[in-house]
Parts: sequence; structure tokens; C-alpha cells
Amino acid sequence: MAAVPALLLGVPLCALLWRLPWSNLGAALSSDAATSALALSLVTSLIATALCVVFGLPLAWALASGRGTTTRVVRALCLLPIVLPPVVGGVALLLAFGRQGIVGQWLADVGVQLPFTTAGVVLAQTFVALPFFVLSVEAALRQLDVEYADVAIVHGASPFRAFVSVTLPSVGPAVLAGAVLAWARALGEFGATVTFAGSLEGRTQTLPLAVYDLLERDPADAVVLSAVLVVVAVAVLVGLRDRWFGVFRSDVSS
Amino acid sequence: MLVAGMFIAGGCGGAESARVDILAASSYTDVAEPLEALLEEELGLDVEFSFGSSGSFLEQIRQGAPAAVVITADSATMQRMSDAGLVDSVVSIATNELVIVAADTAAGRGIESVTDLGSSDVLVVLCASSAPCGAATDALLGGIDLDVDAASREPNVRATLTKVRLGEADAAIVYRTDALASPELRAVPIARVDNVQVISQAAAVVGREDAARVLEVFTEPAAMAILAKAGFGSP
Repeated sequence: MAAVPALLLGVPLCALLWRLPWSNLGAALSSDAATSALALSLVTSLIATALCVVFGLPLAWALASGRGTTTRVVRALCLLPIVLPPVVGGVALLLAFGRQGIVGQWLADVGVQLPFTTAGVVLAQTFVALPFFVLSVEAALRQLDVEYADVAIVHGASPFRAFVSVTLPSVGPAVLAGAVLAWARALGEFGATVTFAGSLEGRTQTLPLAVYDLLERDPADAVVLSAVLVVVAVAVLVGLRDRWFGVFRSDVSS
Repeated sequence: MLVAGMFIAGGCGGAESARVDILAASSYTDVAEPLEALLEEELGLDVEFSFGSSGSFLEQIRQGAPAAVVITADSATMQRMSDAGLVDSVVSIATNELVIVAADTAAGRGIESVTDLGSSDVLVVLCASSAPCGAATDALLGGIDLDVDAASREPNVRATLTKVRLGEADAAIVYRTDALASPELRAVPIARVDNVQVISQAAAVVGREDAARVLEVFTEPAAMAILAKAGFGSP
């Protein structure tokens, strides 16, 4: 019985690598569409990851230390992008940050445009990736013995100092794991990006969007770009093999 | 267990009453309902339309999409499927042409002709070159030697239209039928000499039952009337 789901997951990935057109691998990877999508994906996903860390850390900290209804509501909000279809996230982003959106119309007045821009891609990626980072770090923070930080404060450290020199080092691995998860999620983002930022080579057409577009023009090249994403995914799993289970086990017990 | 259940459910499809799936270009979105009703009435079959970019159909059919009939937005896409031996009995059922749709925005209201799309003040979205509407758009812009700095090349004509309907883009180039389906947008015609006409074709997917009967209905006056009402031209 376990073989069926294992095959379901394994066979498509093997098929992708099996059908890889080895002879024109170089040509497919060096085409304009591929190189600009690779570069764009790399840059946007790394910026999105940085934003996740910068904004996610305080949020995770607040969620881990909060107890009340507000905390629970905020946590539910933070989890929502994980369960939402990304395309719905894209629609929501348009309604918020689009030119006619509730925030977007103010942004437009001061000359800031997010849809159809690379910044829009980063925003969409951050939207879908942030929950993964927050969840990982919050779980680790909850497991942490708060007494250590309290002791530091009692001995004269400021709460900020206690956070930086006591708390942060002990949740460092969870921060790293969360960042890698968020990065992988940002790299693979499709639905929210195509809905909110559109698709234009060199500006908003990231790797997954390029795969979708190439599938209609040149399926062999689409397979090559897909394989790039598979290789990245495998690398992430190998890199996280110890942390992966730790993150989610602590998540369950909290 | 769940997976096994899905396989079993999938295998039961054959026992139902005859169902015909039609894979249609996204420009057919608004005529599907009356066409479906007509086909069901005339043939006594359960007809289901599904939509996408014509450019994606070749791969879908090659991979065994259950469609009996496929309708493309242009003849070039159908030719590729025909060359690949995937379809036969190709019949031209309608024509379409390009038109500009402009949103009720400051820049959108100023658009009078296709050359206005070349202005950097106008936020323009176009179909991706891999979709027939994008190929036709490329031919149009190439023909009049106009450079349009598109903000996005959307996967199909409906996605392109949607960006203007949402007011996120000032203008787009779509099919005349799409403009007619969105009365809230202002349609700006493109001069006949510059415009690109596409011939929409239907064909039978090789080896599928009932396809011939469906194709026959498409050439009848009743079907032509539905298409004409939506703004399609007669081939």
C-alpha cells in the first residue's frame, strides 16, 4: 500500500529527468528566456527570503510570546497563505496593491507601481513564503526555555540584547531552516506571481512562469528548466535532511 | 488508499451516458453555453467545454486529453496539430480580428489608435507570443513597424483582457469577440489594412467517437448564428 503513493511521487520526477534532452542541455539553459528567468528567479527569491527573515523574526517572536485571542487570530492570518491557492493570493494582492487596490491607489498617487514590476514579483513571493519562515521560527521559539533570556535580563541585559545574544543563537538553526524553506517556496512561486505581476521576460517572468510559457513553444526546453527546479528542490532537501523533521516535529508538539 | 480510490473512480467514467469533451480556445468562453445547449439538443450527448490557450492544446492532446473535438483560435496552431497526426477533418468555423480595449483610466481614455500604444505613458498588456492572439499581435505590430513596451505578455487572451477589466492595465490588444464580451471597456478598432485576421478552426481528435457529428453541427446555420452574435465573422 505504501508503494502506490511512493510511486505517485517518484515516477513523475524520474520521468522528468529521464526525458531530459541531454544533447541540447547547454543550448536550452543558455537561451535568452532561460538565462533571464534564472537570473530573475535567483534575485527575486533571495530578496523575498531576506524580507521574510527581517519581517518574519519579530512576527515569530510576537506569536511565540503572545497568548491571547489576538495572537491566535494573527497566527491564523499568517497561516492563511499556506492553505490558500496562490492564484487567490494573487487576486488578493491585486485588490490590495493593484492600481485600483485599497492600498495601491495611494501608492499610485505617489508614483509607486507594484503590478507588472519586479518588485511585484518579490511581493508575491514574500506573501506566499513568509508563513513558512514564521512557522519554523515560532515553533523553535516556543520550545525555547525562556528562563535563559529572563536570567540575562535580570542580570542587566536589555530585552533586545537578551534576544540577540541568548535567544537568537539557540534558534539559529530554525531560522536557517525557515529561510531555506521560504526561499524554496519563493523560487517555485507561480500562481500569485502570474496573477499579480504578469509575465514578461526579464522583468516578471520567473523560472516557473518561463516553464509554463515554454511548454507551449518548446516543450524540450521546458523540461530542462523544470529539471533545474527539481535539482534545487533536491539540494534543499539534502541540506535540510536533519532540520526538516525537527522543524515539523516541534511544530506538532507546540 | 485515497490514491487507489481516485484510480477506481477514474476508471468508472466509461459507464456513463455518452459525453463529448471539447477543448476550445479561450476566446470561446462566452459562446460555450449556447453552443453546448445546441449540441446537446441536436446530438443528445453530454457536451463539456474546457478552455485554454490554443498553443497548449497540442501537448494536451498528445498526452491524452479526453477531448473529442478541438477548436483553435487560429489556423497555424491547427496546422501543427494536423501535421503531428493528432487531428483530422479540419473545418474553418469562424474568423476573428484584433481590436484594442481601453480601460477607463487617464491613459486609457486617451487612446485613439494602435499607434497610441507605443507611448510610454500607456500601460499595455499583450498576449504571449506562444498564444495565437500573441502571434497575431506580433504580426500586427510588425506590419505597422510599431514598438510596444508591454508590461506583461499574458498566457492567453482572457488573462490579457482581465488585466484591463481590473483596471491594472490601460489597454490591451485582444480579439473583437473579447471586446464585445466586455461592454464596460471601450473598444478602439484597428484599421482594416493593418489588422490581422485569424481563422478559427475545429477538428476531430483522431480516434474519438462522435467527433464527426459535433463538427457537422458547427457548420449549421444555428451554430453560425451563435458565433455571429458573439462577433465572430463567417469564414
